[in-house]
Amino acid sequence: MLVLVLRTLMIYLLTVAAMRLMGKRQLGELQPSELVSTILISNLASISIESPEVPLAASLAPVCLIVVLELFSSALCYLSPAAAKLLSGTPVAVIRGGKIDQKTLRELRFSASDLLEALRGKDIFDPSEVNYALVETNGTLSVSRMQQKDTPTREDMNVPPQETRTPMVPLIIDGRVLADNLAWCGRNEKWLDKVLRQNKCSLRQVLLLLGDDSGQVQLVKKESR
Amino acid sequence: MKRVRAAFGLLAFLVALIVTSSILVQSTNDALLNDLERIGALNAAGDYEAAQSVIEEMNGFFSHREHWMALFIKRDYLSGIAMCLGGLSAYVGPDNQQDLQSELGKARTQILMTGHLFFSML
Repeated sequence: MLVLVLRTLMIYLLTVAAMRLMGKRQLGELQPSELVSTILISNLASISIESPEVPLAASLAPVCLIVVLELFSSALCYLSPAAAKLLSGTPVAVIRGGKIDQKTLRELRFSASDLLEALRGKDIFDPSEVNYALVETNGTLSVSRMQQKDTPTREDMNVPPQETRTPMVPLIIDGRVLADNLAWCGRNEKWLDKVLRQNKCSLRQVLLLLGDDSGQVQLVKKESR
Repeated sequence: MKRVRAAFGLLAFLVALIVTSSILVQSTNDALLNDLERIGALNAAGDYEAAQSVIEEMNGFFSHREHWMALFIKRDYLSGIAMCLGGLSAYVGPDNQQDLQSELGKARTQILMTGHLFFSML
């Protein structure tokens, strides 16, 4: 039993390290090669846990090899557009000027209801509102609306933009200071101490402190238990 | 590109793992097959004490290597070999020549099969 626990721990750490090494792309929408890697890793990792008679190397070596292949293929795709096209394919236009390209839809084996569902996910219920829609290599739909249906911008409405400032970013989360965000807002620990003193609370009492470069802050104190 | 460097590191680790495991399995199998040959020859020549001592040495050698080999080979196969080797000493002697030859043959087959499973591609 102890062996099983240790093996599970090792395989868990190995899999987390593998996924971490493969990067954030692996956690969101997957490219074909990334999907294959993820499926294979999940299967391989379970072999050593399920069967104690199987050597640990039976999981370790293939998982490492898949990570290596995945990293090399993503580097290759970055360096060579031709390789990227071969491994991941290319985005395909399915709507142009409000008109659905039925031939492309058939080639993608995308039904009209699939397309409408994807459009609804973008808050579009009428395909004629779409100027240009692409099915990306990871299977998601990217949409550009017709200009007359698009949300107007400040520029369109001749509304002058506000003074450029950083968005409200967290400066303290759960009593922990986020130094990078503090520096981005052009502030320092001294200023933070002053803010805390003004609000009569200590660092440990802060659940969340948001701030921007104008010095505006929002403080949420921890509730006493 | 840090990750590509990590990939090269992992690749180096894998190559080292493959080379190490291949050397370990090959050298263990060679040594065991060699010992089995010697045991057969010594027993046939009537040198039973020497044959017993080779068996003892061989079992010690295999029990030491078994832990390392278990990193790369299924434990079932290794325990099969260990059982075959462990029972050999009972057949050394003038009365069990044929039985010993048969047991040596079984052990040889087990060892060769392990090597085949480890090295064969298909």
